[in-house]
Amino acid sequence: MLYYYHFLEVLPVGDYVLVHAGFAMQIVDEKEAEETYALLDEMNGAPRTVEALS
Amino acid sequence: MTAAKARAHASAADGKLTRKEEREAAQALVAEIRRLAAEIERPLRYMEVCGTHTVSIFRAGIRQLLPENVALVSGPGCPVCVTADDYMDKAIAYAHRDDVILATFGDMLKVPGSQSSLAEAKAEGADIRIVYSPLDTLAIARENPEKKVIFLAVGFETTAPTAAALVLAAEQAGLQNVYLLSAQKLVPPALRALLTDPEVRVDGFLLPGHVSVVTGLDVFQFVADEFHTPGVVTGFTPVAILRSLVRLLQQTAKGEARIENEYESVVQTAGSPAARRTLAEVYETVDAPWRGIGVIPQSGLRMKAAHAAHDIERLLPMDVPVGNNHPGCRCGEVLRGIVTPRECPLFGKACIPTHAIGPCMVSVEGVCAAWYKYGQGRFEFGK
Amino acid sequence: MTENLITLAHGAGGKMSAELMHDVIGPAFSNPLLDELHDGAKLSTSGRLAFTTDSYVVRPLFFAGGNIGKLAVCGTVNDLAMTGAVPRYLSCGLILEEGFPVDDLRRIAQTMHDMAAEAGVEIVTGDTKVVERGKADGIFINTAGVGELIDGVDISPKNVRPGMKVLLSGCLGDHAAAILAGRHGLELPPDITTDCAPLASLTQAVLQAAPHTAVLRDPTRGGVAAVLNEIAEASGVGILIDEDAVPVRDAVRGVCDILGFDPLYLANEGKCIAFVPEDEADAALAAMKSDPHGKDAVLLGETTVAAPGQVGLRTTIGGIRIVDMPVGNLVPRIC
Repeated sequence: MLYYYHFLEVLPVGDYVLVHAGFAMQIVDEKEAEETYALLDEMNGAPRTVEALS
Repeated sequence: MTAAKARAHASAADGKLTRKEEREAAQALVAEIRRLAAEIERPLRYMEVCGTHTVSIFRAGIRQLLPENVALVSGPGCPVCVTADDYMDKAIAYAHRDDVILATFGDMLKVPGSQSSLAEAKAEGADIRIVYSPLDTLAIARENPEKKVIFLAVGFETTAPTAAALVLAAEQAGLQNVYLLSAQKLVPPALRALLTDPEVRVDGFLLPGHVSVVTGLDVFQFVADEFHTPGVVTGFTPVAILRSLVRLLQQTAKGEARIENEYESVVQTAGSPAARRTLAEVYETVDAPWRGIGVIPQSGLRMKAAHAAHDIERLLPMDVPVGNNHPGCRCGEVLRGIVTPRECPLFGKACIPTHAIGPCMVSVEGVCAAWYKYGQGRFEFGK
Repeated sequence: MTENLITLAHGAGGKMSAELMHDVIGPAFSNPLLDELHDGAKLSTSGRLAFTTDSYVVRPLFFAGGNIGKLAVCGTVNDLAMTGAVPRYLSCGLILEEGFPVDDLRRIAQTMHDMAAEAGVEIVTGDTKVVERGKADGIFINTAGVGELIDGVDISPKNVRPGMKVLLSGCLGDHAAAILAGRHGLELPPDITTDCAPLASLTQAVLQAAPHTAVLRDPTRGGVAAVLNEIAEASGVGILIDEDAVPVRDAVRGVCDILGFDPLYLANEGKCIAFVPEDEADAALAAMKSDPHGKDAVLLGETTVAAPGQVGLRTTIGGIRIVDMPVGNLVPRIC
């Protein structure tokens, strides 16, 4: 069974994507991906916040 | 630094800025903010409506750098905080059933209901599992066919499509024992409610970065067109927030009202059509109660009849007693940005993170929780 | 002994207890004082003593770079070192759960031996009890320690003044990251291991280079944030640290990002914070860096007249935010 883990129109290869709750939400359109400034470490385990896949 | 130079900083990707570059960009932007604020003179209030922005502003120490007449206030940016207080009671009641397994994000565990919390229920033996993606629920359901596996779906437009995807995946897999207890909401109607509230005064919005990934920019256009208020979709780095403040101040200075996108690397004008399609497949929009604010029209998501078999409340309605608001709790005003947490008599005394009374303190993304964590309401070092 | 699991009889004081001592614990810790096997050890020390105790209940028992035994020795050695003492002797109390694998006990005991040797201390007395299955979570360890206070050294928060420098001996969060990653089943990059280490040689080097050091503390539970807040409160000064100076390994930063933690609040088991007068700061920092466990030492910040009792962090962009005492139990059973 294929479950869709993304909401992307085009599957990226070698691109950076924005990941939220296990889903790839959007391709990051930048030469260098935006660094994740450690907001997540303030959220103390809230996985709903986003992290950049790199 | 001139406005042109500050704008030049804006066009460079700040993904891999060195510390030095970050500091210099920030200094340039703060100088520009001060210049514009002095030009405008009058007190200004800019509101963010995203828990992640609330925390980012504290982390970076941004308030401490702003001129006296520029105030950053928080709006209803925490989905757990604005969820009706009977939601947790229902979740806990479902969890205590022998035929139920609850699946939830970790940040819901400590949110108190009127008597208890999921963490306490878990300690008492309720089967509650932490998941990192709604899709993790599928495996749990497959392994426990005799149980009802309920995913706690609380969030805004960023998370709702992922919960919708769970329902579709469950149907595709023929897993009938997957359910949602859903209390998801939409942000633009909340902005409309704030802008029509006579007690609320806002000169512009830092618009949520990740909600916009899904919605795109058009849903916010009414803020500018109908209410002549500027809004800037904002990323989460300190430099991004400062850049957006510059843009807001520039608009204010010129008497303009436009929706701009500072977070262009991730937010496309059209948003994510795929995410929205998934959402529309499973959900319809309904009026919904926002804790502290009241019922906001067309602001909530309810599962469509076609998918009702996965809506636990339709299958197994759970009545819980209506909670009473604690006298003195000013969450309603905090959530609308009318007062700061410090102005609530309970803040830091009867209401603290380990013993939260109101919704703003209960969640890690809540305004009061953030204010408490970063100095218990005092954020001026040495003042 | 032939058994491979601990039974209640091993804690009863009779033949099986003696076998356990003889075959497993004794050989691991062996030293002349312990080998006398009296009810207590007779010690010779000089000068004034420092005395401390700690109990260890870490979960999991074995983690990247160490185990509960390593913590039990280093933790107590370091408490003695932080009071300005030369650690000399430890006691070791074990509470074992019925069914605990003897091989695990052997490994833990051997680790304790190795760490004691590295730290220059002897484990001279101890006790072993066994409780029923389900009543002790594998093994709990208590160690108490005595050390000889170094002449002329006066470690106390009341000696902290404004205008002093705050030094940190190395990268934050390694221990907590190793534990958390182990618990959550995250695949670890090879350079995340606990930083657990004995710091007596480091503290002695610092005290030699900076005789007017006011405070030494190891940031264990609650991390640097807890220590700085305690010192600020106890001494009545303000403390201002620099975000850009806070050292954190990239891999640890990554674990923190995923699990939602701030390195300032995470436990360390091989780090030292020192409050030293400004004119002794350079020498103290050099002393830290010359120690194998202090290579990444940094100048973290300073004490201030402003904001007595508060801890502030100057962020990269130049704002100052308050760093408060941690609230609640961020990471249970970390040590």
